[in-house]
Amino acid sequence: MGLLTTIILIPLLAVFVIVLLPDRQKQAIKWVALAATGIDLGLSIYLLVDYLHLISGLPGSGTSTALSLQYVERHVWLGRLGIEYFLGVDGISVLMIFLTAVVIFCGVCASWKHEYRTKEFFAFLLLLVTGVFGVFAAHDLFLFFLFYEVAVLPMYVLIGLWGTGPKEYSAMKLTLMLMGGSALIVVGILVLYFQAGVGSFSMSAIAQAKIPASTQAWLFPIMFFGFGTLGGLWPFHTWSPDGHASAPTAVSMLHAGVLMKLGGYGCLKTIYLMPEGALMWGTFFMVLTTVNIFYGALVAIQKTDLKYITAYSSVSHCGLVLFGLGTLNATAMQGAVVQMFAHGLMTALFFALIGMIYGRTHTRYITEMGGLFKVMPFLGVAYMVGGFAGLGLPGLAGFIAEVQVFIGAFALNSIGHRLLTILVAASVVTTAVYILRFLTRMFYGPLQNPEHAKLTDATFVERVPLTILVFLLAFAGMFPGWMIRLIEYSLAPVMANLEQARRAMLP
Amino acid sequence: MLEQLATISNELLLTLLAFTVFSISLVSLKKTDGKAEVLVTAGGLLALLVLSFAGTMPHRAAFGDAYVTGPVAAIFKRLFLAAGILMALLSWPGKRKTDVAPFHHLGEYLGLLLLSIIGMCFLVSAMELALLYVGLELVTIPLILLVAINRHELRSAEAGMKYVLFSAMSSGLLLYGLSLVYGMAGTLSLAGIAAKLTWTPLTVMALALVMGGVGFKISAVPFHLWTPDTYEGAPVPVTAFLSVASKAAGFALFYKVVAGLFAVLGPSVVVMVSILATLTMTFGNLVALQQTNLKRFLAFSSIAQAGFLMIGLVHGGPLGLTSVVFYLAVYLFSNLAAFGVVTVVSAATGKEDMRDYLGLSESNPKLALVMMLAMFSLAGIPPLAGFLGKFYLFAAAAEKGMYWLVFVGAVNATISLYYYLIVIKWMYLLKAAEGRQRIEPIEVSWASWVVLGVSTVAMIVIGILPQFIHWAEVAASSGF
Repeated sequence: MGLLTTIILIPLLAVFVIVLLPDRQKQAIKWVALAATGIDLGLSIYLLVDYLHLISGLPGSGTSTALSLQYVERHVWLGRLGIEYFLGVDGISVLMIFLTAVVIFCGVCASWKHEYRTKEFFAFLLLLVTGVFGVFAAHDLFLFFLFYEVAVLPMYVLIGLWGTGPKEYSAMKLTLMLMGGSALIVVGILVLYFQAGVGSFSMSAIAQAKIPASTQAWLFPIMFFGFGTLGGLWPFHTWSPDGHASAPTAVSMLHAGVLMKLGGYGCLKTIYLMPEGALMWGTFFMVLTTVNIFYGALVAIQKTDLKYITAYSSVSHCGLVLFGLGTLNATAMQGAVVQMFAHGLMTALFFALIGMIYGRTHTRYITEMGGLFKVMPFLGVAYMVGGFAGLGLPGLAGFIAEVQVFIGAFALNSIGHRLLTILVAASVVTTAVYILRFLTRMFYGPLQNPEHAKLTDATFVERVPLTILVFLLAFAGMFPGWMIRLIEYSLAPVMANLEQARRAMLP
Repeated sequence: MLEQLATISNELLLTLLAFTVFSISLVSLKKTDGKAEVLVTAGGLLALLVLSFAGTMPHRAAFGDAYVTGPVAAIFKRLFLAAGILMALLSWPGKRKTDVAPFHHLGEYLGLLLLSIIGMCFLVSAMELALLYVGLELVTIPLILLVAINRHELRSAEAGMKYVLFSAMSSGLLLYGLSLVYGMAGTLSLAGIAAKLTWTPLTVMALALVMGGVGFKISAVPFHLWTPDTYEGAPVPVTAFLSVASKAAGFALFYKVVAGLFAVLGPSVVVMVSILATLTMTFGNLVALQQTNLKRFLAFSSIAQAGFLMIGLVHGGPLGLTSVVFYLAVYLFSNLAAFGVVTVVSAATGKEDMRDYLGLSESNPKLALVMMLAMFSLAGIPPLAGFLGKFYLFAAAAEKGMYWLVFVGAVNATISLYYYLIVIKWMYLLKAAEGRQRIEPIEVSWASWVVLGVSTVAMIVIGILPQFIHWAEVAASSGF
């Protein structure tokens, strides 16, 4: 059994163990969950280091249009359509698997106090993670889609049962919008398969088969919107604020931190599979995502509920991911992937903190907080770091992402694109407004509510996830070289595909 | 002669079994409690099922090619046998509050079930119009009796009446269409007819009549009107059987007469089937959204599922047949799992409304889990079998180049997810604040556990293990 299968199967195995444990054994259930995610974190670190080692001697950019996959596991699976159990990772998937492992480990730590129907909660949570690992590891489109749906569906129960506020409504809205997106994706996959006519769902095979440009012209937006729905693309982002605000802490962390990245990841694969379509539609999606970035930031300014602020800031930040991808420029796309990583860490940090602060103050409204620095300095500092990463302060991961996206987008050769880039760059100001506003409001000044004076700072179990996330944000911000190398290496085939398409489209 | 009888040994043995079951209550001295009948029926069917796997089932014909058992027919027969076993077990007379199945007539009840299965077996093997029609009537008439078997209950009688009227009507349409076909071709053999038909307005009319007649059997919109009332009024195990086995037989019939006879009309058939599929999916879904009675809900869901199945019929070739056969198997087990839970709950409490399932996940976690898996499988969520089934149906339409139909199907799958999730919402999400009485923990009989267990395992393994889709593909490539 290969490394990737092991990473996917460990959470699934933990699901079965948890299902077999009796309800009362809450502590044992949590330890099983922690052990499974801990092992996966270890394995994903090994995967990351080993992959970096593998590509250290190789030239940076190849001219081959096939993704150079590692850790390939390939078995014939179902039927005569050529569905395979085909796993394999490139640098971007490795990075995303690492991110997933980090976020779920931190998520389990952050739900350590979970008491209500603990068994089912961790079972569904780990099932969800199985799906996420699967998506990032799969190279066969059918398998990819299968895992994609496994990753989306448990969310319904997780939000609907353990959430807060209008949770049934939010859960239903989220599930239906995302499944609506996947309806578009399944159409896309089948059209790609039959148009490519290679009798295989392997992404590389389909990409090399050259889908006719006339098909790409209408299929590209269908698939991009399909994945974009999960990636928070305006105007299909509306599930995100409601869903994230209603979800319990660990689920928000996982959903905003990792699941929205599935959308971005899927969009990247769409570009890889249909470069001609991407060239036709890139600018259109740049315009849409500009709306994303501004709209998310402007709404975040007006909200006072912490979860809504973070959810809208996610819409804004994920907009930057899709904007970067839409430019089809190597530097900007690198930035987009870094942004996926940075935003994953950042939002996971935010939602974990919100859960912890809510557990103490019992409010999520910033108007009812103030001066919390005095009573919970540790949580305060962690929140500050997250906030600074959000507004792209140098030294943290968000900066690397934003700068690359802006530079790459500005390098495009038309006034329109440059104007868009200037607009998007200006969004940094709106982002700063809401982030600095809620930081000031919550942590500075005199203590707003005398009741809060009795509150305690983070416990040890809570410090573990916060420390990991803050450390990674800073580490990725100060030493981005390894990350860039991974991404650059894996984007090369995508860029080569785009280059070919560009040449083919010249009159 | 003997050789010919050996060919139909499956049907002969079934007949023997049916009469054995009929006579158990006659020969036994004291009044039977029905357990012997259930055991004999289920055991006999199981033996036949095992036997069908033991034989290699070659292409065999009898009675001047009027009767042919090919690989696809063999798969269909196994499905009917499996559905029969599970339905017999669901009727196990345990301690119960309401009569889901008539206690005192279990012998007649199960015997009728067996007769209907015999009809289905003949139907899928028939290669000649007269046998096909006789098989169809043998399917329908016992089912009418079964629907109305709780004759003292008004709902059951009404359901029976509706089913009689609509069946008679649909048989009339079908016969009219088939008689036109016979008039044009001058032969009753299906293969012979297909070769002789040409494109004339009369052929199109015959096609429309035949499709109307068959449309009733598979409850395609706009011929679905009998479905909800009949499903609601019939005893729950009968509803389960109607919704799976009778529907599977209907699809076999559809494939034989529509795809088989009218291949010459090519594009017209495709257009008509795809319009019918679109209407059926969309209408079934939109009405299912508003149902709260679980039997009516499952009735509309089964209408929508018939629409999905018709997507596969658009593709006349092997891929289409594969997808239909495979999805029928998936649908059979998923629907039986759902109906199994409904039967158990209804027998113990008399409750059939989904709002009564409030908090079922806490009081009866296992039943709720089976129901949830069944809903997900029907909605087409991986890793359950419904996912692969739908994917194949869509693939069949896509290979034909009908991307719009794939899109319609995918959108409908999303809509259907909404109402399947509502059932899950009542079982898992809502807390007992609405003042409804909760269902107490239910004692489930071993027979019901077998049904639920087998269906659940089937829902999971059919979608993951490669053997099942492989069987369907191998069978479909050599035809009925």
